[in-house]
Amino acid sequence: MEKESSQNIIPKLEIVDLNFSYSSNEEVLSDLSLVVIDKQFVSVVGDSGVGKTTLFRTINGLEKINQGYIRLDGFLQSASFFHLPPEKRAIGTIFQDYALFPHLSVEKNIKYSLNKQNYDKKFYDDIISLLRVDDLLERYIDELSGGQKQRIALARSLVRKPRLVLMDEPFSNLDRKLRIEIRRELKKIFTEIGSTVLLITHDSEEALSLSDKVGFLYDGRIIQFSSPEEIYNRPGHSIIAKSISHSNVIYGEVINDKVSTFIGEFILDEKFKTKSKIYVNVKPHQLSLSSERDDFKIIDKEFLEGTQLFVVKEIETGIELNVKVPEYGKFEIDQNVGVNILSKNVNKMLE
Amino acid sequence: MPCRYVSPYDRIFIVYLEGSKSITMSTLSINLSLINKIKRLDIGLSVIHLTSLILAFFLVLPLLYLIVKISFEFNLFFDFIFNKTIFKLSLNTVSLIVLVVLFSVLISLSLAFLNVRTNLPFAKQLTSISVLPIALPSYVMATTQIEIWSKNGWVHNFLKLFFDMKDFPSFYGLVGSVFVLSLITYPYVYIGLSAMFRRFDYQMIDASRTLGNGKIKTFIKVIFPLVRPTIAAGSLLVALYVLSDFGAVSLLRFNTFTIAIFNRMYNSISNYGVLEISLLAILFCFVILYIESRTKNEARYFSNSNLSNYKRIDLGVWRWILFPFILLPLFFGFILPISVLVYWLIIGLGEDIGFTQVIKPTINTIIISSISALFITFVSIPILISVKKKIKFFSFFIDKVSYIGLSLPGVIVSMSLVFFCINYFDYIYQTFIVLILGYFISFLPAALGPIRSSMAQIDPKLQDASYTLGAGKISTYYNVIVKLSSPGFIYGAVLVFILCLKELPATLILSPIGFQTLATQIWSFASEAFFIKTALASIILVIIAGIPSYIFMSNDLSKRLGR
Repeated sequence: MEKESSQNIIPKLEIVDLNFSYSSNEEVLSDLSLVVIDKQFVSVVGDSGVGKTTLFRTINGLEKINQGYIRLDGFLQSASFFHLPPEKRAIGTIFQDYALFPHLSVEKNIKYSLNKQNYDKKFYDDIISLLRVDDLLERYIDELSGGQKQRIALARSLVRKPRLVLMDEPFSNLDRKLRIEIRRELKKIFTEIGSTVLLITHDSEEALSLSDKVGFLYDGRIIQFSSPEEIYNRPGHSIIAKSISHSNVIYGEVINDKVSTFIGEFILDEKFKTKSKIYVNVKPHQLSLSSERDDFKIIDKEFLEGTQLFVVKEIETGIELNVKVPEYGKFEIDQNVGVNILSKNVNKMLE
Repeated sequence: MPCRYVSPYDRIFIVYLEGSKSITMSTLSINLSLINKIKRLDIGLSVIHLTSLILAFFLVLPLLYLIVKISFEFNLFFDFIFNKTIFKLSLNTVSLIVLVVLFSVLISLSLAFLNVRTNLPFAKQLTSISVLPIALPSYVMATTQIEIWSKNGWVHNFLKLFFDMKDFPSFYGLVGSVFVLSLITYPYVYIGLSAMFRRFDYQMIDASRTLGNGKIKTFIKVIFPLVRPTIAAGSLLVALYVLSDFGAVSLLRFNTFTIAIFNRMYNSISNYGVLEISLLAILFCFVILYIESRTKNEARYFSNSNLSNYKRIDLGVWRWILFPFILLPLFFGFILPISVLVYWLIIGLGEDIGFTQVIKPTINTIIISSISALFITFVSIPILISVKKKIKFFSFFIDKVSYIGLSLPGVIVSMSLVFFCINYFDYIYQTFIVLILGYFISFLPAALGPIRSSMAQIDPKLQDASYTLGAGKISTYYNVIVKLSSPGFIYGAVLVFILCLKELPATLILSPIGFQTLATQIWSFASEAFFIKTALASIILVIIAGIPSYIFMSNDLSKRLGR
């Protein structure tokens, strides 16, 4: 694979102040900006209805934009006055349901975009064997499993050497085990052939484990764009904290470098004016339950990635908190408990 | 459990046998194997199979008779086929089929697309009322269109108000036949296409675009191959309809196979050539079926469960410009013909031309159609059982044979029945038995279709559940299968009833002398150009046959559209 100098930081995809609305006046995307550097794996995370699919469709040219612009490798793709049709964009697109053609064999599906000019036999063969679809070429789409469809959709978009790979919820139709497996495999393949990838997903776990950078989409714009660690450790907005780590957003008053809340004191990672009121982000694993007190009541529990997540409610005020407990079977619903603080470091957030 | 495997059916016997405690385990199992042996000779079932065999015999009768008869004079067949008259006849038939298929596909493609995928005004209502022309029998459509388009018809008279127009292009022949038949048959294609456009996975188009194919290439490589099977299936129905149509082409004086067969049987001294032309027509059927099956093999159906990307295209100003065009098929295919009928009725009332003549044919029609519908629905039960039992060859044979009537023109079925009866069953010739038999051969598939599909929807577990709850075969069959599929039986019976009401050639050929139905009365008045006299009969026919067929068709449509 050709290697470009990795120091040369050119934006692969550049979206600036993108505005989009369907004919009904409400804006779906407003002043959205996003930059993807060459060979980066970037994810855009958001809950349903925040404009993920619209963003996907504007980037690959299926929708025209109202304002702002989209550039790919420095070339203008979309603007209010200009629209490059999707077939001219060289963006390898992977749809949520894969959108494989039912009337064509696997081979014809994969070769769909190839013609005499862009057919590179060696590259094609590499992709075919890399994605392990050699044995499937004769089959039709209705004879494939979900994982196979996924690999074929990927092969189909990669064989024409796209400038950017754009994926919309590509793993949502797979079961959890397969999802993790295929995720790892894809990451490896993308690194190997040096693809630049933009993944659009609702699954923050997916985004955090795959990406170099994560953008959080909310209400038609990216409200935070940073590394996965940053977005997990220091979410800038309560929406992100809640969505990504079931965090508790707790209101408190600053006293020196500490913040005092209704469950106790936390240490702030930056200085604020004393007596100012702020929201802080307390992750469920920073708290624990104890059966010695009884000011909270367990109202719900959930088994989550090897631990248990309890939802407890303060009996007096009705405020709810999420608490992670590693031991299994120690607490039950309706039990009265107390909440202890295990780790005191928190950061400030916007409500 | 006393033995390794006890079928639910045997359980009753075990319970019965266990009543007498003295029976040991070994005798019990011996008894069971004895019961199994007896079961194989199930008398009830054999009666059913025998019945289906007899029915199947009547179903293959027309084909069998033709083939046997022809094979005696096989060399004559070829001598007969290769001449100018037959060539002209074939050319007429083929060009009629091709043109009608073409027009009905064109009409329904644009209609279905605009109604289902765009924001045309009243698109939702239009989607279902666009099938209305199907409610008219072809001979009624023909009489009314002749009134409108022929010389000194409505259009000509209207134009005469403005221009000096003595000559007017003739409506009779190919032009009129194509026009009339296209208007009647386009709903067959339209229904499938509407459902297709609704289900179409538009992500396919997006995918193709993002993979570097422009709009035209996308159309050729993706859209057309995916739409083609639906068009082919609809076209098959249209082609078979045209091939077997008798009423419209006879009134429009266009010579096709059906007309030639009918004329040679009734208007010529000898029956020379009737069998040969029939065989030729059957060959045409096979060709049509073959072409359709070829396109079907390539088809890979897709189901788009995700209707969330179902979005109507905003036509902007065009929605009002296109709107009148969308009304055209409905206007010419239903509103105008009905207006003509009403107009005739009003004139007829003034002239008092014996409307009492209609009473008897109406009663005749209703009685014979009801009897036939009940009979055909009833005899479909043994056929269904025999097919379902999956007995090697036998079930396959019964299954295939039951669909013969679907593709054979009514004229040919009736003609072969006439010949057969004259030669072998003289005493039933020109009785109601032959008439009902003719209806049976032609319309059995229509009854089987809905019954089968409603049976197929029954969860097989329900049958097992019934067995394990101790019910026997017959009681299970009645309580589970018959009761759950009763909507299918009713639908099938009504469908057959409608078809019998409208059926012209079989009724003309097979009815006892002097027995008139609405269809034959309309035809005999119309063929003598007493159009006004057909009005009342036509209106009655449209009301009792047309309204239910419209309801069925639009229900079917809305079911397919998932509403």
